[in-house]
Amino acid sequence: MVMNPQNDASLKNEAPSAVTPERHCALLAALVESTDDAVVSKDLDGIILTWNNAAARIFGYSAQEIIGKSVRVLIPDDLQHEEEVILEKIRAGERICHYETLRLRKNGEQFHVSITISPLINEEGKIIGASKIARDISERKQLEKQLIQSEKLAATGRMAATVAHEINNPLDSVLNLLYLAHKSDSLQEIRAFLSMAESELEHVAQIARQALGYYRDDGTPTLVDIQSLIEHVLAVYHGKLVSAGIATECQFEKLPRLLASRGELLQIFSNIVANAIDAMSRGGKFRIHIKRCFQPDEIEIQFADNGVGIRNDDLDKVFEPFFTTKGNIGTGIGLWVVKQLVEKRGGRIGITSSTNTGTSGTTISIFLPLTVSEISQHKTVN
Amino acid sequence: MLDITSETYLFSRPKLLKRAVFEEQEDDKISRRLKKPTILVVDDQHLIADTTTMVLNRFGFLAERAYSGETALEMALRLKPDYLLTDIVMPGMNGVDLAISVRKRLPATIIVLLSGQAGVTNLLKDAKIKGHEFDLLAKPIHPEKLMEYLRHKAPHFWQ
Repeated sequence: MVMNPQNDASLKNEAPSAVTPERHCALLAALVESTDDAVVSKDLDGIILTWNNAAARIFGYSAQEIIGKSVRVLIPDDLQHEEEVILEKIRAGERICHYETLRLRKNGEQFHVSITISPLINEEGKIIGASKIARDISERKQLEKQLIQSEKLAATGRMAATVAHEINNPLDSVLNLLYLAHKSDSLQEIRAFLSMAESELEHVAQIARQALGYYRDDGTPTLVDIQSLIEHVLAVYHGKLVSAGIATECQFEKLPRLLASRGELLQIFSNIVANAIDAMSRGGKFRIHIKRCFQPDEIEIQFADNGVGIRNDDLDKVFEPFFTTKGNIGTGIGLWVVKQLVEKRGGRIGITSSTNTGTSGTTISIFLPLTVSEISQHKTVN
Repeated sequence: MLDITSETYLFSRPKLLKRAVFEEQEDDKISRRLKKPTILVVDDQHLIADTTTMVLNRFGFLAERAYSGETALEMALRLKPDYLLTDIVMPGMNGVDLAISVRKRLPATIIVLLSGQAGVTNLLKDAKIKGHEFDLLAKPIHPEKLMEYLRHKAPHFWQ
């Protein structure tokens, strides 16, 4: 095997006197044999020429078994097309670096590999085949999968904890109210307690719908009135807004209805309102401004709070999954979900924030496209 | 299901009541204290604070309420209640910080924390590391269970 002339030269430069060409080859051969990665060479038809110890260990074939056979025996049926692409690139003198794919062991098991393939060049500078270094990354892939799974589980757990808190509070009041009604002798008082319990239970039902309803929503677009949807979300959070001392100010332009998934929009607005409440735990002003933009024809929905704000360093990360500045309270997926849903609908989202005392606050702008057909639909509906 | 055992239990304290009535003429404050244990209920959810206070007032306690940790601390120092029953997650001063402050100033007050959130365990763990351990009840809790628990924490009020 002839190595890349450049590498060869550099090796010679480093140790010009001690290493004879024969010794050099022996050293390289020993290196290849002792490495943990499969090192294989093949000709331009994909016929295997050399096969090191690691290749035997990883793929399960001995050198005697496999040399002279096509590398295609190592490729799963549905990935056979890869070999043509690889050979084409090699013939063109290109190199393939750290390409992650699946390969087959002798026992039929598929596993993840990272492969680097370089052309083999003879003394005349002609490409005569390829060297392939394959690293078994199945363990790493397995770990990655477990990590994603455990993060998903943790997110679900945090979400469940938040929902549980939202439901447990009104239930606590309901238990008290029913107990008071139970023990009371005054019909008037009993009625008052029961009607309060009823409205608390309605609140619980609303939370259950709000938190769990989205997952049932099939995402089918319908004509949605943004204004009434936002008012609905504010009604859901009314108690929280009031108890945190937050004044809400809405400025709505008369707008056409939007063709969108109601559940998705509810989730978008709920998550943003919930964030604003967390940012203004000591009270504040929450402004919601909806207006229509032309060129492009879209609706802009702006949510501005004068809460604590988000540090500049953190601002880039707020749309990343599992990022939270809210410690135990945050799930770290709220704004990430918002961004996914806005983009799915063809919209954009932007955020600006300041933590300067006196002028702190966060503004989130969502742009959702309106199309002509939706506007005409709106006209016929009205 | 009507369970009146607790009520029967509550009101069958002739000895204590007699003494209380007797002393009421001398010193209203002392007699009130003898008659009923005092309790400060703290929750930022107004309805929970209000209804819990109402239940406790009707069934043998003398309850006051506060909607924030800050107000509660000020009230606790003034009223020196026998019990402090507080929610944990509240804007501003949380229940654990309130409990630590109250215990420092009023070591005799029996402190019970109440939470509807599993996430508070970290707050409690941090407090425990600093040497503060508190009882924790989970919301929602049936008022009878709550009262039974409170009675059990200080049986001397109920003998």
